Amino acid sequence: MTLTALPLALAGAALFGLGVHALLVRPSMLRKVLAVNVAGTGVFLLLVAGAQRGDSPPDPVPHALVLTGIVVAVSATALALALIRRLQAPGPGRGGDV
Amino acid sequence: MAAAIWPVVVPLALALAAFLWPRGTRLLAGIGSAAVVAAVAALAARVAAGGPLRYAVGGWPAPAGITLAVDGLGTVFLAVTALVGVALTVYAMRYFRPEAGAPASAEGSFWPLWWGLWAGLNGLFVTGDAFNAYVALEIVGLTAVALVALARQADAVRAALRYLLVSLVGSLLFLLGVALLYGRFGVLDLGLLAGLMVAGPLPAVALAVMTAGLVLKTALFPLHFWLPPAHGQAPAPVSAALSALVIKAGLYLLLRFWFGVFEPLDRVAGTWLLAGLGAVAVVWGSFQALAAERLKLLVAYSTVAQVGYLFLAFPLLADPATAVLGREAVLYLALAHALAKAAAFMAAGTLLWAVGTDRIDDLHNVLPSFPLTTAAFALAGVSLIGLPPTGGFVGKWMLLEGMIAAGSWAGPAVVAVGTFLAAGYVFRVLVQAFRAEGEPGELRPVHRRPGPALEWSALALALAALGMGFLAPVLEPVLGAAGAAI
Amino acid sequence: MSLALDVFLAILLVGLAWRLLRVSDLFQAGVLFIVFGLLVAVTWLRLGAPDVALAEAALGAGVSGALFLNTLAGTGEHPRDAGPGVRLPSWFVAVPALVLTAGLTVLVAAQTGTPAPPSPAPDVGGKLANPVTAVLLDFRSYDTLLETAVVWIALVGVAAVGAVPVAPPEPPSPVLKGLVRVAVPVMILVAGWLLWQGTMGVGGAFQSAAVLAAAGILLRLAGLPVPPVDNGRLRSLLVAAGTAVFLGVAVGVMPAGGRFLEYPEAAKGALVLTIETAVAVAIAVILVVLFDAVGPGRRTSR
Repeated sequence: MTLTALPLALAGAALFGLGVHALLVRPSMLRKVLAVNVAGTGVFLLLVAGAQRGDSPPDPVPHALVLTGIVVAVSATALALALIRRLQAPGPGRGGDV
Repeated sequence: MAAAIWPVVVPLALALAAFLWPRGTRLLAGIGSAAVVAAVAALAARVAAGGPLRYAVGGWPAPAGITLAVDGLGTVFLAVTALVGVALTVYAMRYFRPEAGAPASAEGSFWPLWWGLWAGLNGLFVTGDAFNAYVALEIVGLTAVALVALARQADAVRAALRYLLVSLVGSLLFLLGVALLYGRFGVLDLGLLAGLMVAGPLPAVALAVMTAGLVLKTALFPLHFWLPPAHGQAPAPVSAALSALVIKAGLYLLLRFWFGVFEPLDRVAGTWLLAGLGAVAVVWGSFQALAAERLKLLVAYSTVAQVGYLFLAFPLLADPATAVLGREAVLYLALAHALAKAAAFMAAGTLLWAVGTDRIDDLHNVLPSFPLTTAAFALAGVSLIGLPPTGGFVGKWMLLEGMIAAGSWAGPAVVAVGTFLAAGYVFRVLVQAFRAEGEPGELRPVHRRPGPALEWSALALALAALGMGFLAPVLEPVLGAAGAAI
Repeated sequence: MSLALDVFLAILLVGLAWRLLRVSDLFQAGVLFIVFGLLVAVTWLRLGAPDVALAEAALGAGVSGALFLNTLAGTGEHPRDAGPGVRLPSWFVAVPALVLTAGLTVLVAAQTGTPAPPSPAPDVGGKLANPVTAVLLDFRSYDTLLETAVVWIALVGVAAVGAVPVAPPEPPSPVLKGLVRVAVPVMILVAGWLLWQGTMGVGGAFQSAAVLAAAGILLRLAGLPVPPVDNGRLRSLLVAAGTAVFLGVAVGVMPAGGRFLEYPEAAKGALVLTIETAVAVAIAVILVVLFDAVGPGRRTSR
């Protein structure tokens, strides 16, 4: 990995730690969803930054992997949000604060 | 050989078909399960005859493309998934059949998700690529979560949401490991990775984070907290699929990575940590099961305990002297558990469905009304306890053999305590079922007649668990050969 | 100089994430999340990944942000950060999280300077000149096929939970309506161009899908009809079309002697474009339906 990519790779590590921490500490489900996304972004940064090569064009494989990861993350986020939304449905067994 | 891809393509196509043709779901279920079983059988035959199979999807061999790699281990998991899958399909066909006047919505949503789950599981068991494994894990995770939420009550949705977040974190930890490995070695193919692997801090950290993620997905203590609500609240066939099959997905990857890809590392300390957690899981899960008020929750806690046994075998696998015994133990325990746990959940589900309650204290007079279902639960329970001649007994026996050979005394002690507690919670249910209240011969008033599909599918799996014990002389060498991959 | 820029970017990213995870008003958190996503997109550009940057901006920031904010609209105004979720004491979690982060940091830093292993993707010239598209739709097309299944599964899951509500007629703002009427055709054209471009330059099915979805969401917000989403039968067909077409091509090339997903060289460009079109349309429709599902509106079972 090149030196130039180092700060961003470190940011990725930090984002992962922050995201996991927030996931476990913040009680709001909506916040947890944001936290998982932040953690995911951290992993993606590590993937791409870790495969930087000095002068030659970057390795396209991590780019493709991250693209796939982003799509998967959006899908999972949508499902999570729909579940949260469902908990708010009026009627028997109504959920509380989300 | 293209045989490797059909077990994934067929259920995926079925999922799409079920989605586009909601009226045809029952027809699809019947034909479909047969088709999936045929695909798995064909693949198994190929592997049995010709050894491990490699298939370069898209014509691009690794490392450029994704290669499917099917060996004995994968085949065994594929086979048990197929067996349980068929039984659950039969069960679900009856369970989700809309009653007169009731909406068909649950049925319409169940089938695409069910086939999707099966496709994801098969995809995991045939893949030879680390990132492909991640995508398959996500398919399994999302379908499982949606299936839990199918029950639609607030408790089920809450359990599903927690399960989703847990599943996502687990997958991310796994992906983090993959990212570290790719950064260092530049390949995603498992075979190539194994070849390039060297011991060092980075591989160790990669293994650690991947393990954390997979252990979360396998619900090993203390990361099991999400399982009892999810497995307890889901509709019965879903609970069965989750405990019997989805949990095994995590185990499969753990075996692949710990004893395949990461071989050059010194894993002894790690396996002892996992075994320690497993020991706690056995005791803790069994106590919780003993205290459970509802039958499905009891069975769910039993899963937490049974998962513990699987990890007790890990130190055996890391030591060449006991590796063979360890492999056979893990596979026997995992497979017997899959069969027995599915049967137990199916039986519990039938009772809940027919009688309207699954509070254990209310489950008296059950035997005369539902002899088949009670028998299924009893047989499954016997396998879970580990009494001869069931598959559960053979698995525990091998585990004990291995532990004694390794000179451990704590291990057998834990197994003994767990067995004793399991007997406790199984018999607690059976005593109730056999207890007659009111007039002798008086039958239990029922909401709905369960019918043969529900009762016989559960009994069939329970008999299969029993059969694993009887067939031990035949199965043992097969599983031993399969385990050679790890 | 550029290193300083990278350091600044890194600090900004972490700071923004810290803020959005701490601020108590969830609406603010949502907005900050969108800003964060855009900053991440800039980061991808910095790291030489324009395709990812486009996808991050459109999907990671745009669509995710829209979904999140619409959920807030659905569940009530600016809920405070309270809830039933697991809540561990901060210091208890902070220690292992810090250890993990520190460990990763050390590992990553130790990797600096070592030459990266060669890329596994072969340098094939030819019909798919964009290397990322080549990886996504040729070398590792199997992953992409499964990925389209994941998106579709999310939709099925959301429908399974029940109530994919019909969006209520928004009080039409004539300004918004007029703007949208002009913007949407342009966006559709842009989406089409991105799709076509994807084989040669920056772009592709997912970016195209995101732009199409954005167009659909705009139509929703303006109270205008969205025919592919509103018509139930068409909607079912379209959402399944991405995975179905992909799978169909994957299997369809086999009788001619190829393997699963092994395109015959002559037809590769056409097949890839067909797949990309189906996937783009399917994902776009799915995203709009998901947007509807989390928002406010009448509850109707599917």
